[in-house]
Amino acid sequence: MGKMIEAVNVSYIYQTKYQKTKALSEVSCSFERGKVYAITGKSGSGKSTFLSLLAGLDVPTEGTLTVEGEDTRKMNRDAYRLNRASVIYQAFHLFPLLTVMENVMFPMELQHVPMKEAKTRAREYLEKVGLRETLYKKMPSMISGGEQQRVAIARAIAAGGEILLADEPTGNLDSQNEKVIVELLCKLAHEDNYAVIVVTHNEAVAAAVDVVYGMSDGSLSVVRG
Amino acid sequence: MGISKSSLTRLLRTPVKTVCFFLLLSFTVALVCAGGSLWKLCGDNLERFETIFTTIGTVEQTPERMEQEAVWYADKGNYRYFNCAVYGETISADVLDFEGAGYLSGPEQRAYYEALPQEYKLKEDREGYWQHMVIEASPLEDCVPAGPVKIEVKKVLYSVYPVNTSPIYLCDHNTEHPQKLYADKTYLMALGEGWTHEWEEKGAAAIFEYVPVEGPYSTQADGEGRRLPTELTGNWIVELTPDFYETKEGQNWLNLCEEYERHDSSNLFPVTATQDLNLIMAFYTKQAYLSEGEYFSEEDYRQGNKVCLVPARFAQRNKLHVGDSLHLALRYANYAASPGRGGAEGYLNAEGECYQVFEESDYTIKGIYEVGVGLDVDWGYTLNRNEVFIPTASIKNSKENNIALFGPMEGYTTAFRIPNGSESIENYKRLWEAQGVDHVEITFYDGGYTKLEGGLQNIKEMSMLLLMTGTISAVCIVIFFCYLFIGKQKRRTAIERCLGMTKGQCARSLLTGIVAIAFLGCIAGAFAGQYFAGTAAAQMAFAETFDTRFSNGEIQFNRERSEEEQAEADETAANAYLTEADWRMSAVCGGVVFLFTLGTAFAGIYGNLRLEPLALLAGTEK
Repeated sequence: MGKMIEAVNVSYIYQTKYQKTKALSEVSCSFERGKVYAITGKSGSGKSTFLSLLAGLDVPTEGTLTVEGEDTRKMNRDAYRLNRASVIYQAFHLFPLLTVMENVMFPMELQHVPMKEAKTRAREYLEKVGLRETLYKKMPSMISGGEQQRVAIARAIAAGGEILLADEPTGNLDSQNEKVIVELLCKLAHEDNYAVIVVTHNEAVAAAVDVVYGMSDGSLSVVRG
Repeated sequence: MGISKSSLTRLLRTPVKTVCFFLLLSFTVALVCAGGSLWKLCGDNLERFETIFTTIGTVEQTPERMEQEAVWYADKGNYRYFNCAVYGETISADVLDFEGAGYLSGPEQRAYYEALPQEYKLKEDREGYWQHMVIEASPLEDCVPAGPVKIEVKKVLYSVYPVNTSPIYLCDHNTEHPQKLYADKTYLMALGEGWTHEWEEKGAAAIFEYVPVEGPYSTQADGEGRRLPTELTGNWIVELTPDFYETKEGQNWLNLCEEYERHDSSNLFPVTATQDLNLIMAFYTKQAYLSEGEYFSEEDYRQGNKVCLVPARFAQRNKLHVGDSLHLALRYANYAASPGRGGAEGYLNAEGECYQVFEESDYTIKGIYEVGVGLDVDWGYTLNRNEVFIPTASIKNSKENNIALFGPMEGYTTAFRIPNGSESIENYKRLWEAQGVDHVEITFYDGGYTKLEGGLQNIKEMSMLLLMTGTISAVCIVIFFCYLFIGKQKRRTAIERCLGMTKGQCARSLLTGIVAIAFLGCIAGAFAGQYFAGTAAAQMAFAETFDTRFSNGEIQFNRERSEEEQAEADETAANAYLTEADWRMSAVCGGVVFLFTLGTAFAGIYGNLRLEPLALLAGTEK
């Protein structure tokens, strides 16, 4: 299976008026479809910065980051996030004023998918993440944390992309929901051929994935390959 | 559901916040619009009243002192005493020419001229004239006319009405010791209709008598207003000699008769020349008003066009219409009186001759005026029933040798016009006092403009306060709600960015809702403000008591009207006050608040978009 994402000597420097901070230092790695990757490390080690680059929210200061051979510096990164890479978060970050169904439909609306089709597909994704129909019209605040994270995953896959980025996706969940979410992410990688990259410092999550990278002071190393 | 629809949906799912924003914004926009509209309305009204109202000053030379004048009354056999004003040297109207006075017209000491066309009919009949005559007569017996004495009329040189009876009674009523008259002599005498008085002697019945009136006299003045020296004494009686009429004195008497003839045969009428009809109180107060045609234009005054305004009855009697020609032959000027008050001028010049026409032209009738009931003012201000008006500059020839009478400035002869407003009047007063001219009194008439101006200025200040309060409130509300709807939505923007929305789409997502509410709020507020301003202005117009009688507009007061006319006049008076707020002002105020909202929203969105999305979304939600 070919490399989906490849980072070669990627460095990133945060620059303020008064100081420069090297958040990433010559990171090189690759990610493939159908696998679940975990990036572990302490707070401030550069995990989120790397995820930000992977999500196309920023570009490396040095080195190259390519997605299927295309340099992220040169690509339309808004379109990349819309159509190919989605992010899920520890705090779920659903739109609080949209229903569960509307949250899932949202990326499809951005892609101009007709309303009827968007609704049908949203229903499929919600079923896929194991949510009952009775929840579809509820507001995010009315459902549990595990359910919210499943809605977030449904919204992430609704865009129809192939890269799923997760930033501490189980950080706010109990162990039972944590297990469900990890299984769901693995299923998406193994059955639906997603490249799933999870930033975590949860040992259990790291144990469940296919490849584990460790990050320390901006440098990345393979922990388990 | 597109981005905009989603934005609106989210907004509507926070109804309390949205409704509060809408109501508060509407309210503050209403305040801003009401303040702005009222402010403009007051300004417009002031501007309008500036053109409707006029401010004039009338000038009067005041007497230096009052003296008692003793007049002999033959019927009482005693003196009666009258208060008599003693003026100092005549003060020229030139004293009013000083720097900074800022006249819009004038100052003018107006003259009226006797016009001499023969063909115009001035009165339906000759009733109502005062009978006076110049006759040759002799007493029936030697006598002193200290009481009624009989005289035989030998010849009538002039009489208003035919003298059918002879002898008639003569009494030198106001002379304590009259000269003795001899039966064998014939006298030429000027007599006027006296009064019936009961002669005490022998309980005689009431006797109708004639009394002396002035014989040939002259009050001619030069161009500076100085009385010219003359030999004419005004003596009422002279003894006839065989060749009397061949003498200069005799000729003077004949000239007097000729002049009497002119004056009493209904073919002389007064013509008043003015620089501005507003300076004539009857027009200023709208007692006299145009019934047909037009008033004089600025050009008429400036270029001295040969145009005139004639009274309606005069036009009617002579079948004259607007556009017709009126032949005016001006003979002499009277600067001391108004045509309504009448003469006191000597009919002959200093040489004892009749005045000759010095200006003769055809004038085009530009307007016909009516005169309403009189004002409660000095009757010098009332118009003569046949008074014709012309622009001063239309008199091209010099009248220097034709000034029959010159006198002190009076309110009805001397006036000027200055800009409206208390500031203008105060400034004038200050400058005038600095001139240090005594015995000249100036009275200002502004038709209530000063009071109205003060009222409107107060409302204008209130409007400004309203505008500022509204603006400050609007700024606070817009900033507060932009913070709620945008500033506090950083996380939302970050999520949207992570979901692949472009910065433009994120901006649209945040803007749509707030812009829609702000737009509706501004429109609702603008309408409310417009309505409030209109209502307040209408209340203001009704509450404000002002006198539009003195306006230049078409408002005609102070005359008898039918109910229909009264209703029309009331409507016109109400219309004088602009009560409809200018919608453009509301539109501008509403628009400015809307643009400010838009600007604030953009600033907030810019702030949201500057943040790093993932950094914002990482970690646990607080």
